[in-house]
Amino acid sequence: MLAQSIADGILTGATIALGAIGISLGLQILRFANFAHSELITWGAYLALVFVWFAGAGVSIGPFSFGWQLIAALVLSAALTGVLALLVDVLIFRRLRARGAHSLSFVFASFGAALIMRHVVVLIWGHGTHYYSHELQMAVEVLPGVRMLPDQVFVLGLAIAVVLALHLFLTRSRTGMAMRAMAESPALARVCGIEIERVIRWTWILSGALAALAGVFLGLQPQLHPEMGFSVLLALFAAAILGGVGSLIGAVVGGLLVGLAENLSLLVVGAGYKTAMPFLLLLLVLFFRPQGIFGQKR
Amino acid sequence: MSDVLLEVQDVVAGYVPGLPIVHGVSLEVSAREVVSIIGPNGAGKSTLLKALIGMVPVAAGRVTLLGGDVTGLPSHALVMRGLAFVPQTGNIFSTLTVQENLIVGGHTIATRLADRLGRAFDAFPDLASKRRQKASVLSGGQRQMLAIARALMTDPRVVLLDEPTAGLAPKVVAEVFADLRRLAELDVAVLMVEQNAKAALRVSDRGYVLVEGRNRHAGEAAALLADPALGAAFLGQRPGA
Amino acid sequence: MIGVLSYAVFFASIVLILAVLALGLNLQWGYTGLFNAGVAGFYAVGGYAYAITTAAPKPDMIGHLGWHWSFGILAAMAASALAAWIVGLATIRLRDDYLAITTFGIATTIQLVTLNWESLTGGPNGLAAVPRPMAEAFASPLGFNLFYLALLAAIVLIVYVALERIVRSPWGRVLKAIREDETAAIALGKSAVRFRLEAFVIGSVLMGLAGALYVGFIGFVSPFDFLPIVTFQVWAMVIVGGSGNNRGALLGALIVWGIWSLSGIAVAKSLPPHLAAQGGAMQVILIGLLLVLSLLWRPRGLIGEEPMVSHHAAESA
Repeated sequence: MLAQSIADGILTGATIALGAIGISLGLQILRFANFAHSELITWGAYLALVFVWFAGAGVSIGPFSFGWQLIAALVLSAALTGVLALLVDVLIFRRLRARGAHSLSFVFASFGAALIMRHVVVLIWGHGTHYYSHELQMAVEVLPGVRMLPDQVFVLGLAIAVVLALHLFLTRSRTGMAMRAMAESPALARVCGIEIERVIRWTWILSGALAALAGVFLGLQPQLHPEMGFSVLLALFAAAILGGVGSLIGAVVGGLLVGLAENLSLLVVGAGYKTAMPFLLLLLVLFFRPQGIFGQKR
Repeated sequence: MSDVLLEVQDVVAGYVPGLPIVHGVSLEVSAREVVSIIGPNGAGKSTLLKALIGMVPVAAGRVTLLGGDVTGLPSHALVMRGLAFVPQTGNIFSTLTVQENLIVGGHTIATRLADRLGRAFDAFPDLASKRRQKASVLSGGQRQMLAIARALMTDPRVVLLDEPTAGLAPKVVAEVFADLRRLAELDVAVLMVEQNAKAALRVSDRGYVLVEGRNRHAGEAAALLADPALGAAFLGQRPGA
Repeated sequence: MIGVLSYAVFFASIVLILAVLALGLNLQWGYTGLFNAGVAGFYAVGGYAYAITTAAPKPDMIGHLGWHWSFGILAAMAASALAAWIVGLATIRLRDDYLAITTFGIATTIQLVTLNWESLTGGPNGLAAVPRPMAEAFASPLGFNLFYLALLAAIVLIVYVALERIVRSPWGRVLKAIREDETAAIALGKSAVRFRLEAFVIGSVLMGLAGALYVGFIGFVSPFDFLPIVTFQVWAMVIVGGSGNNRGALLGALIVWGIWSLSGIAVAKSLPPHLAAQGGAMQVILIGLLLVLSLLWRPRGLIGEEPMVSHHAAESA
């Protein structure tokens, strides 16, 4: 029972971690709490769905519920959602930046943008649930007492790969290092010759792509609905802040801890309160150590 | 005559539009020169430097770099044209490693990174031994070295420094000034704001005295050092001493 | 004719109730600069507190004290005050967006509680037969509604006058100084936190009052009256009306609820029933657009003059 909860927790945690990285990038580089990030997750999931519908579910690969179509949909959706994120920036946030607006204006605008994005999904796809595929899966006993669906193993593996790739990007590429530099000090970054606007654009695109991945992962477990991003938003913030804003490893660890908290809490509290656990964690962190586990005191 | 690399004409600048701190300052820096800007606190010296690197808006006047008008250009454009800036505080990225600091410093030039890194480490061996450590572990003097090395990564023609020796031990102060003198000889002109007026003028070719955002005096460094009136006001010498 | 009158009375009543919410948010945001993203939560606390304290006793339900409606209203205000005080203590000192996240979290958690703690809140079905103030005195629904409208108008007037007095008082002036000058806030140190907390609590008390007034009007409480969309509607009211301005909050309540109702009617009339969800979505999109556009087009931005000096000083230091 406990082992299964832990496994489920790690799984949930992996998805939350991917979303939390985007939130963390936003908090550190864009410098505001981006409440629209959850809608990038939702859009990422639905854009992948469109491709899957278009291409047909296809033959599933091995024990997974999906075929190569979903993999392609994932890649395509990541690209498209990156573009969508950039569009949102160009239409709304870039204008606020040009005016030197206070960071709360950005937060406020992100609320408005989120409302619009979420309900355009309802407009287009309705407010019911959708599925990537209707293939049933058999849970596999991965460890004694721990059963996982093959799809879940895939999600976990891919999440690990993405985090590793991201780490390499942030530490080896010029753009990645420029992002980290900007996260610490935009003023100094500018003095080094870094074009702030360019880094911000890439941050939005990257956030969008990561959100799309998180969206597809959420959609696989087990369904899509217009509130899917919104329903995890609080958990994402909790994870990003718990882990320490601006730290990649922080977002990952934060995500895992939040996932574990949610699933382990099921052992003591009813399922209805599951989503209150991240909030509790958040309150505790803000009270005792606001900079999070890996964060620096600002 | 050496050519003028940086020419500042009647520049008016301030953080808030309508509230200038620099009220029409003019100066110039030529190749292989070390030029110091000294003056009392609040004279607008730092603000002037920040205006020159594009961090503070220029309300009026003209700035010419290497013969081209660069007034009002954004920071990254100025860096690409051969200007560099070492701020007084927050001049290194403490969450990045020493090497990453240098790589980020050289962001605008994509080529020959290894060469330029090599040169930086040759010039500052202390940094080489700590290249993979986070910059936060460096001592005050080493941080200043890193800040300067970081600014040099773009092969600038003119380096602006805001109080490069502030808060440093006397021995390190001497090293920094010696390094700046050597820089100039290697054809990187130096324009620095310094509180440590006497020491700065001793390694400079020329100096400008700014008071309340305006030019007050200018001249050869030696002449400024010898001037008794200046000595009392700015160089900490007692009249008649 | 009665139909139109009934609808007008109903519309006006809702506007007045929302006006109380908007006045509360305006104190927190317009006067104190606190970003409360969980308005719906404090609204819910008030509404449920009223219902739980005034409902007739029932064997398996917690609360249901059968109190008089006036005490119910007081209970609602007290409950919101307590909730705000707890949240405020934890978060007032934090950076602005963390307050937004935390208040958002509080509202979400309260929503969860209303849905799940069935013995307290009745769960998804809510609580019915909640006493409505003076309902027994009126024979016809219209009679009651007119009375209630008058009651609401009186309450809104009292709250408005009280708020106008408060913001012109010494306390209010300190609040304004804290909001507009960051260095003053730092100089005041601990006291600034106390002032902000007080403003936060008072604003939330008003939201709790609004909740009680709403539930007293409807006679019924359910989690679906306090969804996140309410937070966004009230934000729109404060922004559209002009933040920092109590009159603006009132005007905003009228305008935004007017737009919401009109769009609701337009959608119901022009769309077939099976597209109801899409119609509802269009209403929400309208609110979202209102929020974003009013932010982009306001020449003075969300907070009036952006504090340029302090920003630059911090950036170039």
